[in-house]
Amino acid sequence: MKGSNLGEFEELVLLTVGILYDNAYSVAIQRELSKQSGRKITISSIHSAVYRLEEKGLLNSRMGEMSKIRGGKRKRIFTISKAGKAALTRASEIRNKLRNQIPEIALQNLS
Amino acid sequence: MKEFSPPPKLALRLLRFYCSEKRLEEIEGDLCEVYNEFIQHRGVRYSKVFFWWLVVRNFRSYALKGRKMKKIGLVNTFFMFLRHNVLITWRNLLKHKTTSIINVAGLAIGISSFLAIYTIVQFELDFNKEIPDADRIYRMTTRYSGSFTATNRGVAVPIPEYVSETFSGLGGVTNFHNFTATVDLMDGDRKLDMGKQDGVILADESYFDVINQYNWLVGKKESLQQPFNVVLTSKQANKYFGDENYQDIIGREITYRDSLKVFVSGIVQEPDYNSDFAFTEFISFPTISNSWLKERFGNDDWTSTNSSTQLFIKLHAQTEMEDVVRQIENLDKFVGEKNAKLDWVQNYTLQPLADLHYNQDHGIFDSSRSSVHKPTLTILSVVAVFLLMIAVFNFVNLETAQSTNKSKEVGVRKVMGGNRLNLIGRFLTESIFISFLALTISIPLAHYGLIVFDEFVPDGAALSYSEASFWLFLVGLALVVGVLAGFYPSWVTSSFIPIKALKSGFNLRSFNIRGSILRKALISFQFLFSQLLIVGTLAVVFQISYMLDKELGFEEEGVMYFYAPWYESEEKRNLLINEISSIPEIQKISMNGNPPVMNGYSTSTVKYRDGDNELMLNPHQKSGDTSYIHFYRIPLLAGNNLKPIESANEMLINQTFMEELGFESPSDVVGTRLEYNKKDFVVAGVMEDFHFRSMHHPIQPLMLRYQESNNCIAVRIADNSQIEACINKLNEAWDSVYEGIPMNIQFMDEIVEKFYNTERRASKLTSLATGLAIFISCLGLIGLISFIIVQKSKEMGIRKVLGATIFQIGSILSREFVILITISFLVSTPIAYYLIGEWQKDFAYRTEISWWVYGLGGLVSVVIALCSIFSKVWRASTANPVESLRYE
Repeated sequence: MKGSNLGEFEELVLLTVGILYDNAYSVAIQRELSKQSGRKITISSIHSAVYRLEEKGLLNSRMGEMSKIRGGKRKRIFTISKAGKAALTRASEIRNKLRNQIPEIALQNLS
Repeated sequence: MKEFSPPPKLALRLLRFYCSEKRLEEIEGDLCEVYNEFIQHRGVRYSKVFFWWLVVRNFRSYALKGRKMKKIGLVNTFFMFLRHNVLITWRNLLKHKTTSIINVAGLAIGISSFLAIYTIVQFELDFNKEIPDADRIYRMTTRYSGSFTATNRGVAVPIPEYVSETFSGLGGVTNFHNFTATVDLMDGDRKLDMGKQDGVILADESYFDVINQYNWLVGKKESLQQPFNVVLTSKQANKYFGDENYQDIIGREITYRDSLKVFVSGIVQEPDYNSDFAFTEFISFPTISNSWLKERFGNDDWTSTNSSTQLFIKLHAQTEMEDVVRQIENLDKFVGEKNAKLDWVQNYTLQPLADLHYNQDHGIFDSSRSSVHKPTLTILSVVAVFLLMIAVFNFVNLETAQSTNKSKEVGVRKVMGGNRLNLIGRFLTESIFISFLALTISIPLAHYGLIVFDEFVPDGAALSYSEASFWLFLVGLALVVGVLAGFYPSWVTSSFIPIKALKSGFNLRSFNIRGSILRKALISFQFLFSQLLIVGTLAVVFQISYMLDKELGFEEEGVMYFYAPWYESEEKRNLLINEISSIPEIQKISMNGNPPVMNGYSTSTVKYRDGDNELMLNPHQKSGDTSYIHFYRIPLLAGNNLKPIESANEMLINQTFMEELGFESPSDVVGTRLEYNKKDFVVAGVMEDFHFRSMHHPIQPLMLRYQESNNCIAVRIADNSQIEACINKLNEAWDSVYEGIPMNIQFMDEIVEKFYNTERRASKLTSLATGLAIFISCLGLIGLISFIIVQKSKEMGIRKVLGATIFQIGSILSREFVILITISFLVSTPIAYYLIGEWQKDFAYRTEISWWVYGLGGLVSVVIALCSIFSKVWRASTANPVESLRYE
């Protein structure tokens, strides 16, 4: 595994899991993330992201309740793990650190 | 929340098949949820496709079953290669535009004609198959023997009651009458005329037990126990009452034939499969005895049979056929005793439901669609397969020819480590891709083809888009065609040895000898099929015109006839004849029992005693007044015309009859006594033979009797240009006597033409098919010749430099094709000769198909082939040799 660094999409998913606290299953994540980011996101890309995050230990999961609309199948509900929280913090820290180092002049008079 | 709609089953099964236990539940749930949400936005049909897409997209590592790596590896490589191959195919198609267009167009035309014909044949073969218990349902029909021979699809009115009371082992008996009537509806005070309706029957509840193909939407079948009730099919209800709620239609009034008022008591849903029971309204049976209908359907006469009186029985599952046959023999005996005084015998037979749609003798029902000639369906299927084969051969040809161009590609791929399987996959992808492309085009082609050529298409036949089997069939067809076309070239090209294939000046010939033999064989086959179709079409056309032009032996030109209603009085008929006699356009009038040619026939038994020998003959019989032979200009060979007295018991016989009796000279047979209808008849004269039936049949013995009272009125017009005026006057005269009864005038020459309707349809169809076949083969030729010209361009250049003429070069290029077409001509001629001979066995009078017709077939195909390649050859032979020889 390529360490516990977060990819851009993984980070978005991880954040969305946090937003949806205790109701974060794949379809909900897809819905929320599509709404918030305005991107078209397929269910299978969410699947591959959450399972990868779970393998990396950044997400915990448990089986939730079943519903009629799902053809009587249960959903898997994801929650952020300790490691996940740490990874999020580190990611935003790195980002902010880098952002703050950009000199003012580099962002002026842009074409 | 809305109802849960389950996603497509097959897709779900696929998901369950590949998905690991661990993930299945959640993923399936997620997909179901997404699917259901999608339905609300985009509708079910689109969502189903979307679900499939979801399932396929889900084909990823996290979802796959154990021993992951291996499977994922294979699957991923497969998809990667597929994508690559499709891309290369696409580029290839764009690079060789002409060949691609020819390939796709030829295949598309072939597939679409196959599809269209398949649809027609399938439609006709599907009839009545899906009616519940179809294999146990039979129709009882009547067969006459004795003084005449005939069949009738109906039974005498008292028979059904007798059958249901005395027969055992039956699961159901139903009796109904076909009834055609004009329909009026009352909308407030306004009368709405709905026109003539053909689908009306008088039936009771047992109809719905035996023909169990309906769903009751409103009402119950028991309502048919009451008089003046009618049950409608939902379509008919919509036609009469618009979109009104079915509940509100109950109790509404419908008037049949201006005076029969009945009330809607139920609505049934008609089946969505093909059924000859396409009736639209069911008037309750007890209505008959309570209205004027009883005069038409209420008699209890065991001797008269109307084809509208239908009797269907359904056997119990365990009942043996022999059991029923035995009971029918008893019925025959019973009816025989009842009708002992008659000089004919009525027998009853069972017609299986499977035969209903195809029996030309019985027909289906009164005023239903006409029955289907099964041999025509066979011919159609053969033609369809021919067309498809020609198209596939074309495709195979062009692919094999093209494959030599791919030697470099094969060489490079092999050097880069491509194995044979990959290469075969690569070329198969190409051919399957093209065949799918052609399929996509052929669906709209077939769709519009069925609309444009609706002359050949039975009502209601259309591509069955909504059925999964239709799509499966199409995909299967495209796969098979693609593999057939691609297998050989892919096998050959993938066998190239890379180092030789890459070396410049690679000799394609040595690698392609087998390929070119195959190609030649396929071209020959194509032209074989085309020539068979050309000669066959010509033969059909010649035979039809021969039959129409052949002298019938009597004057049918300008003769019209119509029947006065038998149930009306003699006085009225005489009144009509008086009226008609005063029409100036009419030259002559004759009263016939039956005219010389008509639909159907009747025969009778005649006994002849020659010393101790007794000879039984079964001649056809006609009757009329004394004007018969003069009116139709039938020459008498000996004797005199009939005397106008029925009790004189005289008959005129034809030459064939005379010969069958053993006489050689017509004057000898005059005065001979024959026993007919248990009476002593004398031969008054001998008529020259004339064709009273179609040319399918040889002329048979015929007798003509005098009959005092005749229903059939035949008139001859002096001048054909006066037909219209004459018909108008006839109609006026008719209406003044028989007001309200429809008049049905028939032209004798039209009846004669109708004898050959099947052949005519066949000839139109074969000419159409021939056109298509030639077109597809020519497309193939053009493709091949342009390929060959490219290959031989250097050779042509050198020949030109050395002084070859355009003609010589042209002949070198087209020689191969001429040889191939000649070979196929040599093979096709005996086959055509044999097939035409077989087909002509159907006719008693055949025209000789002379040798030049066969020659013409060959010549036409050579000329068409040469014309189609002409422009290409012309360009090649006039090209500047410098262009092809310069090498820089």
